[in-house]
Amino acid sequence: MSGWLIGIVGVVSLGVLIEVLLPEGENSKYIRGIFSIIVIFVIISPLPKLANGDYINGFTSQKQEISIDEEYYISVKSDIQAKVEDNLKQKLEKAGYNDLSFDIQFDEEYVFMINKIVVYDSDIDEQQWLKLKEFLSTVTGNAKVEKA
Amino acid sequence: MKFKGKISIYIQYFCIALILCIALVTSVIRPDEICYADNVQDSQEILEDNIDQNLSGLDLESLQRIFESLDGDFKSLFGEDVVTTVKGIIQGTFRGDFSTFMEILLKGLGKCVLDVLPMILTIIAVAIIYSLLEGLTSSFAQKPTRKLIYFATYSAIIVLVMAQVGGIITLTTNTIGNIKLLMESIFPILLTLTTLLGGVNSSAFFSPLMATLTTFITTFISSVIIPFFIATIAFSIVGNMTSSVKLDKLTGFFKSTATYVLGGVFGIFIAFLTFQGLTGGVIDSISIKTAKFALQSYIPILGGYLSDGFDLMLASLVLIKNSLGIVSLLMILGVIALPTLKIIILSLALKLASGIIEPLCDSKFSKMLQSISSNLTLLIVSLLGVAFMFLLTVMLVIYTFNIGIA
Repeated sequence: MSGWLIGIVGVVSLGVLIEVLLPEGENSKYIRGIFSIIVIFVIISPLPKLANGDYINGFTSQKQEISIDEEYYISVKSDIQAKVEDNLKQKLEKAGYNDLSFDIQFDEEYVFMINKIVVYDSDIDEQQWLKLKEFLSTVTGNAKVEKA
Repeated sequence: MKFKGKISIYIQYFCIALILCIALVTSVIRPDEICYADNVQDSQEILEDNIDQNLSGLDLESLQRIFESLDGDFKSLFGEDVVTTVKGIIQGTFRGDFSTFMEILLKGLGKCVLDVLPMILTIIAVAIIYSLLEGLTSSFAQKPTRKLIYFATYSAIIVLVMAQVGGIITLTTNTIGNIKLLMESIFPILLTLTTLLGGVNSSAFFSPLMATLTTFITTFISSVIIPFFIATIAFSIVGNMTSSVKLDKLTGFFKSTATYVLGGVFGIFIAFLTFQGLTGGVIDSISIKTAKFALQSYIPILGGYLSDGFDLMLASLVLIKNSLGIVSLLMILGVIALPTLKIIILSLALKLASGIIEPLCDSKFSKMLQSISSNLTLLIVSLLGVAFMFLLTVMLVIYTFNIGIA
């Protein structure tokens, strides 16, 4: 593009110079006419190149990804999940379930959402288990509760 | 009488009962109130700890570097550094206000006017000399001599104007580069925080749009709009040099092409941004609401709600996300305000100069100045447009995913 611009500016400047230097006379108007045609040629010279459509590729190729800060994401994710686990443990202790071993399976995408709770406690009897299950699902907002 | 006595006894009973009730209620409530106050204080401390912890984990180095490269006056609008400003916004102690900003702008305005004043005065002086010379030459000189005087004057004016316009082109390119740097440093942070707050779908939508804004649109401006602007300037200068070659319409063509393309790119981007940003937010909030939501709705008591460590953690993330967004908006204001002001002032100055020299000399001079001045709007539009799109993107990120806050 800059070459084209310089071409136009150069041609017009040359024309101005000719206009100043040329003596007044019959021929000057023909020279002016020829000169205008040259200017037109210079102006339309890049048009055939535009027909190729190559200029579009220049933009689509240089795309850059914006990605999340993985390190920070993982550290905050584990923080959040540890806090949820602590919280649940406290609530269970308050309700009288001491030393209950359980495992929380969090959602892959939504870091603070609980998909499933697995309880590792085989001594518990059926009635107690139902009670515990109900308690856990109310506390976690209807999460799935399973016994390992 | 007997009946009345009975009523008075009833009233007495009622009063005693009422007093007992009040005493009971207050005795029940008071420990709770104390507990609640303690809770609030505790949770505030925990929240502050959480904010400190989460803020220190973020990579704010590049944002800090841009902050340091800001104009000295604009730095006074913020705190000492990015982290202090973010904390100031969260705690409500942030000082940056409208009057300070206006003061900075007015200061900048004065500086810009002082910058362009010599140019206007010199152009007027040159025009006066030209008109004097033309008046003198008409009696004795030939036509070529007058033409030479005309070209000498024209070149003098072009040199004066181009010194300013060249500076403006460099300034715009640098500003676009700074905006790009700002976007590159703030978008990953906002995206990470949004994803952590449950905006999984939204960040999948935002990520390509942010990439487009950061790379495609800034590259588009520096490699299409600025060359088009240079072309229009060259055509306005060359086209007014002689009456035999007129390039007015070609200038018009370039200007309208650039305007349409710019408008189209901005319009399409904004349409996609608002549409996808909003739908992505809705999808995420629906999936959060319908799925199992960990431990949030369990405790209905007001004090208990925020005392959960988990809720405080999320709240701190929300606060950090929003105040970082606000800081980035203020920073983009700091980045673009002075360059935009400078371009506007130059455009107005050229219009003024063109108006003043119009009665003095050839109409081609004033036409050339007028045309350059109107082409400067291309640069203003592109700077403001990029800033506006940045603002919309950041605003959408701020207004979605405010779990536990709104």
